[in-house]
Amino acid sequence: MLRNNLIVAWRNLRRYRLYTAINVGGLAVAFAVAIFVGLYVYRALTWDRFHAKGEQIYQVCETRPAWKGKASTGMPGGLGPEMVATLPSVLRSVRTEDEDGLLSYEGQEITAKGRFADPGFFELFSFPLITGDPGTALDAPNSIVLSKRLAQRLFGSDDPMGQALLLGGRGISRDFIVTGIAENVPYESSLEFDWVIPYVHREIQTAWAGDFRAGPGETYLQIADAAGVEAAQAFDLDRYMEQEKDRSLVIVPLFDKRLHPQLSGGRRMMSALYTFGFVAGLVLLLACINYANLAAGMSLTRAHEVGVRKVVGAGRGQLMRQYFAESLLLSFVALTLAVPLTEILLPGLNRLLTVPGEFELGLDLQYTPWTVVALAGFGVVMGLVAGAYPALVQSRMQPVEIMQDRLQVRGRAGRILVVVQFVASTVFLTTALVVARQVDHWESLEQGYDSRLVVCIPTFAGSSRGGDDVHESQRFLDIFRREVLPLAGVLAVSGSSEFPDGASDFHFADPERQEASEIEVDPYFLRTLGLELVEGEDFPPDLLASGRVVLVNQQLAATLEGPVVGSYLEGGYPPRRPRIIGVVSDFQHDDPGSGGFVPELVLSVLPSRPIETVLVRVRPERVPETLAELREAWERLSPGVPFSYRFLDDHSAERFIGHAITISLLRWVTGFLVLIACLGVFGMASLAVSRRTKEVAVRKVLGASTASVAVLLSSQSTRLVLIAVVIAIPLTYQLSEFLLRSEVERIEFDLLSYSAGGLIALGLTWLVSGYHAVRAATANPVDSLRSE
Amino acid sequence: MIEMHDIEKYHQSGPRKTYVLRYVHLNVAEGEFVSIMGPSGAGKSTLLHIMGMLDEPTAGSYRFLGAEVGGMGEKERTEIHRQHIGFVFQAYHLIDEQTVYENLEMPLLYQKVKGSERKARVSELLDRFQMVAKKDLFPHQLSGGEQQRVGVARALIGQPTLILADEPTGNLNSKQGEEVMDMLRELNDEGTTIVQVTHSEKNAGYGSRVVHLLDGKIEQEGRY
Repeated sequence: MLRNNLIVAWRNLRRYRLYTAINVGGLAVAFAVAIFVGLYVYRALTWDRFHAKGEQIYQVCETRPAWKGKASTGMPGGLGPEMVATLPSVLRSVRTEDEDGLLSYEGQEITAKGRFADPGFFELFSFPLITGDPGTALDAPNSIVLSKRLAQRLFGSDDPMGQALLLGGRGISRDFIVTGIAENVPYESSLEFDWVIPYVHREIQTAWAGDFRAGPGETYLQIADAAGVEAAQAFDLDRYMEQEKDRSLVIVPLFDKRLHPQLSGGRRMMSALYTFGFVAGLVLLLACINYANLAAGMSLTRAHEVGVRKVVGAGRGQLMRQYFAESLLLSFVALTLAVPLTEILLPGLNRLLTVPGEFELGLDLQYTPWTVVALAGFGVVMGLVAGAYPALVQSRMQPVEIMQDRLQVRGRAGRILVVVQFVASTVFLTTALVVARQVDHWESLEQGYDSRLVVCIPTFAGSSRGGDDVHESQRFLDIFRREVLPLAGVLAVSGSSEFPDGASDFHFADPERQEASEIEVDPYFLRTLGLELVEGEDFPPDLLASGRVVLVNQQLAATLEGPVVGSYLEGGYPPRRPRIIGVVSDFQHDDPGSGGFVPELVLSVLPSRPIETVLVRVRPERVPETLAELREAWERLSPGVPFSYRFLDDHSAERFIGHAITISLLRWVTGFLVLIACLGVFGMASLAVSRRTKEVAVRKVLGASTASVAVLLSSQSTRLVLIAVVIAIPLTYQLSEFLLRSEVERIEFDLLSYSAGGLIALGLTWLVSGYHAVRAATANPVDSLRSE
Repeated sequence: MIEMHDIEKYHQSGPRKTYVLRYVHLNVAEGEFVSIMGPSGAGKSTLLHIMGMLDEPTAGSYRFLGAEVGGMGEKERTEIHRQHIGFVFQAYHLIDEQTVYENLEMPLLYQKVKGSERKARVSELLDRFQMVAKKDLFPHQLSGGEQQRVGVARALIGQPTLILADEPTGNLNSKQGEEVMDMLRELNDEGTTIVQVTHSEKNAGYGSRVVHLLDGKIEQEGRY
């Protein structure tokens, strides 16, 4: 019976090739999307799982009542060792902080990401060392552990162990001896590094690295048992503080870190996963609806077969089984296509979603028995869901209606069926388009300025090579600006001590107010980045670095009462009372995924820290020549500091990699959604026309011309599609309202994008009607009449 | 075998009833060969469909082998189809996607007959209807006469006690028609009850009794 069902199913699929192709195509694409999203979600859920001691590793985070449940990962340096000393279950603490460094060895200079870390780093975390002892590699203050790939770039085929290299970074510039080579960090690790040096350097540099005030470093604990976690959670930080006595600790298991609701990265990741899951579900649902839609459309064609089977004694259950055999077969054919499709798309998607030179996204489909079972189960579920409607409805048909040729759904009922099907297709198509527009909108919001042609040149200020003097660095910037501004390819030059790598906090004098971000810039910052001034004035070019006047962004302006320009802020460190001279449009000033991201922003020209990055906006023409000229000027004016650069958009892409990935993925997925919806509309349109083959034949016999047949076929479907579009618009509006309800930055409702789906449906209908009209016109009408 | 008492079938549109069948009393005994005749629209096919339980009468009583059909559920009726009734249609109604062999096998599959027996019964009928050479062809590759032979063979495969034939020769030329009618007579001689709907006096002559239907009523009955 099963064999027979499958044979018949196969022949049916072959016989109606167009519909099979549409169904298989739609399902295969939907499967591919779902597999990809599934891999992505699985990867996100198994993030950091490779650490062997992971079950015992916890990250210490801090929260305050004013943060409204959010937590920060930046922890004071004194906390970890104190917890180990006072809590018996806390076996170990490892403090670590990331840092960009400039590494030089025999004239080779490479910038690479690294971190400071306590000596237990390689024992606590499973970053295996190829050479070197994980227990002692970071014991000596001048020791450095390199990643395999950085070692290869620096030393080539030489043995790096025991070699001395020069490392320059914030506040460090000295020789380090290579004491270990680590395997490259896997993609699914939240801790990244290409080099690691002992944390003690951080303590030497900064007075507060060992105390209990705020700190930027992360602290990880190894805790033996659940009671230990509770004890750590209850650790009384206030005891060590003279002021700010409202801080409490949040102990986050390492495995939960990426999705932890109190960490902003976790919230973002979680909502990304929900979005992906939802969109993938939508794609699958749409493919199922397409199947049911087409099956309903085909039901008239297939009715005869059902009737005959019933007459010869088929029970309803047996017919249902046959329909399910068909949908299951189709589902598995689609799945068989989807797996290679995924394999073909994966490298491209991985590349697309990976910033060059960064960690590879590296999703791949592994054929473990578990995967195979999951895929097969997936195929079965989809087959059953897709087949449910035709199986339940069509097996209910009464054979006599078929035998007496009574089943022709004529008149209103048939038209309603077509309209309903068009409405479904149109709603989904339009919603997909609206979601795609929202995604575009996010992306344009993403940065708030054109980041493509801004060159970032690190000054390595803080390392001895760049010089540590604040005024020195500002003077250098002025000289450099004067030197390169006349160049034909240079539009503007600015500098910042923080942007684009981060921001500092601006604490308000009012202790109740949550702090804002602050970026130290020079007066040319706005024109270099191309930021828009919404209100008031820009910094005057000759402004002294005093911090007396500031610009705020719209987010911050919105929190202020009364007229913003001309009012005063109170706070900062050291405390001051700057006047607001202007409001700048919002832009992406820090990684929203980082622990302490605050969207409200103050821009100040301060004399407190040296310029770390010189920003140069260049003209799109002659970029390579301009870069060469910049290098020449740089090397002349700042001997000893290597000229290295990146474009700001690479930089931002890197910083916002999580965000970028979310958006690219969504874009792909909505693309597929539109594709499937188009297939559905196409199938529906061609069914609506083919249902009238007989009518066309009769008209031709009575002398209708090809043109009149074409007009006839398209006019009625046009009317139906128009009705469908009118019904679809409010439904689409409701659905997209629902989908986008949580978006703060909403796209405007505009009629064009809401009718786009309908227009596509209409266009396809005309296309299909034209095709069928030509076919009907050239066909012999007797053929289609005789078969009845 | 068939006892129909005061069968009515009408369609209601608004207050008006359009009768397809009315005042129909008809008994068919086992082993009979009954022909139903009448002009187009007389209700012949509807009567046959009611007999075959494909359609339900609006009023009246219909007993099949002593059991009242009116109160049966779909399951019971399906069971009676399988056990007792075979259909032959004017338009053959074979499944286009299945070969001759599979078309014949289909009713047995639905009756859950075992594989070896299925094979035996299909082979036997293929033999009897001289279709062995064509068993792997699809219906559209056969002539009309051959298709109808498959249709009759399919009606027989479940070893029914009653065959209902709706103008079985309507689409055939006279020679093919005669072949099919000979087959039906042969079956009747073997003891199968047959009820056919036909336009042709000649075909009616194969049977033992004729029922004339006009405007939904039995006008006269006659015997050959």
